[in-house]
Amino acid sequence: MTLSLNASIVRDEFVLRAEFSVRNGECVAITGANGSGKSSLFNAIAGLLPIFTGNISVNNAALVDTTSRVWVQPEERNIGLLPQGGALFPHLTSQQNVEFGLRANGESRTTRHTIAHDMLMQFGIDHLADRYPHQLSGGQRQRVAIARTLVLRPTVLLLDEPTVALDSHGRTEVIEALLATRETFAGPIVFTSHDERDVASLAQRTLTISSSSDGNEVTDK
Amino acid sequence: MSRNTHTTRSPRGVIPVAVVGLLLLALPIIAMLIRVPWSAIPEIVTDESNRSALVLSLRTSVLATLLSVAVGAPVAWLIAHHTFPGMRIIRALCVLPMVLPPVVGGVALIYVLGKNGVIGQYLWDWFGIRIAFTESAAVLAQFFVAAPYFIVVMESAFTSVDPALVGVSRSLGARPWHVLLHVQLPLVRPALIAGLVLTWARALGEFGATITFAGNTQGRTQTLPLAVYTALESGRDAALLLSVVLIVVSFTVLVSLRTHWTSGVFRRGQA
Repeated sequence: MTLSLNASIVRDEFVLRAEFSVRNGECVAITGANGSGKSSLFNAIAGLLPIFTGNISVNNAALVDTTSRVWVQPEERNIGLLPQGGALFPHLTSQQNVEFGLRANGESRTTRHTIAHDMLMQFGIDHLADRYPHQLSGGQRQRVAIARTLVLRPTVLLLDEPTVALDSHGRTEVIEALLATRETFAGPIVFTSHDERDVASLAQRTLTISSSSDGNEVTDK
Repeated sequence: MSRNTHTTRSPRGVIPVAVVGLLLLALPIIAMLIRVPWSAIPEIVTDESNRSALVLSLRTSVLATLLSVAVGAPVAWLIAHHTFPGMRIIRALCVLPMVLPPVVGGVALIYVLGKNGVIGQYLWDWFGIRIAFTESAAVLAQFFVAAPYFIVVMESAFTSVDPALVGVSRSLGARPWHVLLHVQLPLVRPALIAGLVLTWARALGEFGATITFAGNTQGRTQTLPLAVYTALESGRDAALLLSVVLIVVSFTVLVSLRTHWTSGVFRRGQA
């Protein structure tokens, strides 16, 4: 499995050129200043933001290609996206949050329940299944969000600032959860971070978004 | 959200002015209640024309509210989520009935759906359907005046939903309808209820557009506000009592809806 990008992303008044590949089982950190386009990059891969030119593909199958006019809808991409802050559904319990993707894909009630429960157990948070996000600590919320992201067995995992705004205890919990995920997850993992400790403990390779007068760029060439 | 009375101290002068404001709002209602000829209640409540006005008012205002939801929610969705040329004008058109004198709204409706109206003439010529001066006209008049309230409330509610929640839903395989039903609607529920109440209250109190477009036919288009107006011309007692009925109905619904339906576990909690 490979995630491969050769794309220009334009948003409001910035341009981000991205040209890199991430291999199966590899965990890559993307660093760069605030507003350099890290979240937009993830949104483009997940299909939540159109790209201006170029292509993004997983295992040589295009998710988007402006030349051959391919566009796969976000709900068809099976990209595991962890937005910054987790973006848990505030009206759903931990269990229901994790079940959400299974429900959207038409899984039966029993299947949903079993899979989601196993997933919560895997991250040591099954005792929080009936809590709502506002009743959880930052580290607990983030682990529920990671479980929700993995429940559909995505092909690629994108983690946007997974430890931002967490206290040291929460950060440790999340890093442990991510290290465990890195061991078992088969596809490429890409995460953004401001925290050098995260990069040191998780990343096997680091890409930095560089800024110049004619736009930002992230490349492994 | 609990109000912290320890940290919030009112600036000097705010509370006395607030009391004056509350008096200005409450005194007319209190004065009316003082003067109600309570002994005349049985006679006026059992009066056939008054009862039919009440029933008609409840029926038409509920129908107007349902119509506002059915077509107003998609309009709110459209202006909250899409940008297209002329959008400012469309948004202004949507709220125009809020600032327009309702009588003008009634006149406008006559020009559309009256017997010689832009659409009304064809409805009459081709299908023999007449809308003006019927109960349907009363519903449409209330809808025209009340729907903008629903649209305004829902537009701001839809806009307030965190786009990241919508994005993550879609990347979890949810199609737009699934996102709407399982994420957006549950999150805007308090606003939805508030919008419903506001819209219904406006529809129930509608007078100007109704009397212009639907007329004042007892038993057919004479809603409670029109009955109050008519009663004023003959005797003030009846008008007073009918007003009290209107107040009691509105007040009961407002209070019960606000306390029972809008409380929910996620209203307090934000992830």
